Amino acid sequence: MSWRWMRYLLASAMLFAAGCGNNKPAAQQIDGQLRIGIAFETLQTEYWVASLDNLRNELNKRNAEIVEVVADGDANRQLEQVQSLITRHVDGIVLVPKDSRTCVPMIRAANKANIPIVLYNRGAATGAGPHVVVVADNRSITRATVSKMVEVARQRGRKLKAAILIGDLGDINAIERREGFDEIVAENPDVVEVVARIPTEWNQEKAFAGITNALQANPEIEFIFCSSDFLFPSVISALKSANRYLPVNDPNHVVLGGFDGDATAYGMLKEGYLDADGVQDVQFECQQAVDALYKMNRGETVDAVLPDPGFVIHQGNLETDAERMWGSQVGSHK
Amino acid sequence: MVRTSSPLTAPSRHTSSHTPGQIEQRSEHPLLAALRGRTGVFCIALYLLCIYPFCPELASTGQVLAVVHNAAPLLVLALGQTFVLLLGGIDLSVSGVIALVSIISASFITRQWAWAPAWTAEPSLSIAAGLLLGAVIGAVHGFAVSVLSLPAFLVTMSSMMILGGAAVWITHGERIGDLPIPLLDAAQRHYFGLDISVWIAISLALVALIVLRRTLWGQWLFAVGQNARAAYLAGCPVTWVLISGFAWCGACSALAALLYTARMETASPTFPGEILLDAIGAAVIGGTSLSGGAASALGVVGGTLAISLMAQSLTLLNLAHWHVLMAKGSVILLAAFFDARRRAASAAELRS
Repeated sequence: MSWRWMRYLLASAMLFAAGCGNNKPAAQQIDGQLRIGIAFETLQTEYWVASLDNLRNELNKRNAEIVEVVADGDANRQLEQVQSLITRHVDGIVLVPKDSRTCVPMIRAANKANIPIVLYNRGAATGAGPHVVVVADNRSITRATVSKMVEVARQRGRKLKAAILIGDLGDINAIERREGFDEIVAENPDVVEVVARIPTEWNQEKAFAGITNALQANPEIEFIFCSSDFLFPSVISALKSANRYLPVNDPNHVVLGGFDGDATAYGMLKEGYLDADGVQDVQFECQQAVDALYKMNRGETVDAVLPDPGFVIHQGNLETDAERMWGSQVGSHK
Repeated sequence: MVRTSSPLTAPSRHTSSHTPGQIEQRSEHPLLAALRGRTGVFCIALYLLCIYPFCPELASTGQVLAVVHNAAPLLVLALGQTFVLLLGGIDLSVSGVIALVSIISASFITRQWAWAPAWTAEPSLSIAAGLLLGAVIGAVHGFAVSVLSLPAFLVTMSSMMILGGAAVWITHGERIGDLPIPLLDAAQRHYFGLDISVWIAISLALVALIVLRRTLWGQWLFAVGQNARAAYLAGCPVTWVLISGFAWCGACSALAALLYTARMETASPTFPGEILLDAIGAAVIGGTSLSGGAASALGVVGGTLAISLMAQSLTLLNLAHWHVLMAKGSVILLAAFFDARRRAASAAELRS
């Protein structure tokens, strides 16, 4: 690059700088109105889309100005986006981090700028600095879900071979769900024996390849727990390929369980293919997250962890509890 | 990998941003002449002027600093990729190298492996080991391309899979955190208002600038990129140049891995492959020819800032990530189009 060209660039930069004396955010805020940043790691699944919609609703109720960013699975990009929100002088940040570790510098940056930050649905590693987490009790919801699956399996009167689709191990939710599964399996050695642990890294293609291979290597698998409902399409495809996708009343039915409570799981429950599903209360979590931000802006103290107790939905309580399952309120089920 | 059919042109110290066989046209308007090979940067200047009325926040100090800080690790990657592109090759293994170097350096520093002697936890040694590992991986790529005559595309793509898979295998998919606080503090310290990663990137850009303009190695890189056979006949050690060019790229990827690790305070066994496209895009926007033989370190700096600027401005406009992707893809395509037009014009001039 020649110096002449550099001069052109420098001149352009000076003109640009001269034309912009205003260092304040451009958007006009109404007095008392809060500007809230929402930073999502991904919108890959229905759960995140439903969460974003609920957060928007909660913030719109309070007449907040919303600034949204989505990192599309890239933690580095998410850090850049959070820093961008900070330079835009937001009054609070709702962060859905990629994992528990990479969000640490984001929390630190928000703390440094005195901006309240709420982690939605995923906690941070220890030593991250002050923040609030709204999170489902993954371990206990998974324990309850797998217990229900074991109850169904016990009726077969024999030991079933099981598989689990594990999420991204950098995600504390995935780890807690795996641990909840392992605990119940360990408590019921006479009912279930795990023969396949399939790492998915929250990726549908990897899930499909993994469950297909597992079913080929262990055709006798009759018990599958899916750490997130968004992986169900992969499980259904693999089971259909193996002619194993059968309704709950079929003697050869594969006992199925999942976690989230999305529309796919609701459809499977309604059609009689799914045995149990751990449900996160999206509306409750979003309300808690927004409430926490507003309280912190008023200088009030908020608990560091705001738990969502969740619940298990199964064939037995589907009729009574379907309305509480957020998946029954989205998409074609709306 | 290496073109041998391009016109025989001797590499020159002062043609770092010119395409092979380019002939100066004295009658050309000075502005048009200045734009030759820099259309990507011109597009960005135009983009800036167009977007500013909708996004005046972009001119705030915080946003300008954010653009610069975000560009730093990408610049390091792009400078590495530029050397390989200059040779007429490509290195697709970037995400794999970043993942492996990141987790190996972090594993040593945090004493993850019981078998590793205590002295490996010394940060400077772990960092040096990471850089060395990147350079060695790059050198192996260069060896496969130059000695085994394997296509760079195939070698580096396979390498990306192997290294990425190895990183996940070693860590069982888990990230490594708990890096020493003093090390993180040192890595995130600011000097004259800029993060240390920015100064590292600037230093590397200066080294690349000097190498490409003032050293024999730089001349050899241009010579091999323009016409490897002619370079060989002229006495250039083509094999060594290819190996060293790829090694430089590997070392730069390793350095970027360390910068990303320090920034995220976490070593991750998976790294988004999109960063490769950003690095190649930055090089192409900066005037690097995808056919080899033309590159400019300052152009790459401009290209990297352009990529960072686009991402930042579109985010400020509340546009989604896929809009950013579409915009970046369009600009890169435009830059590649102008590069192809330039090469076609040069070839036509030579034929006439």
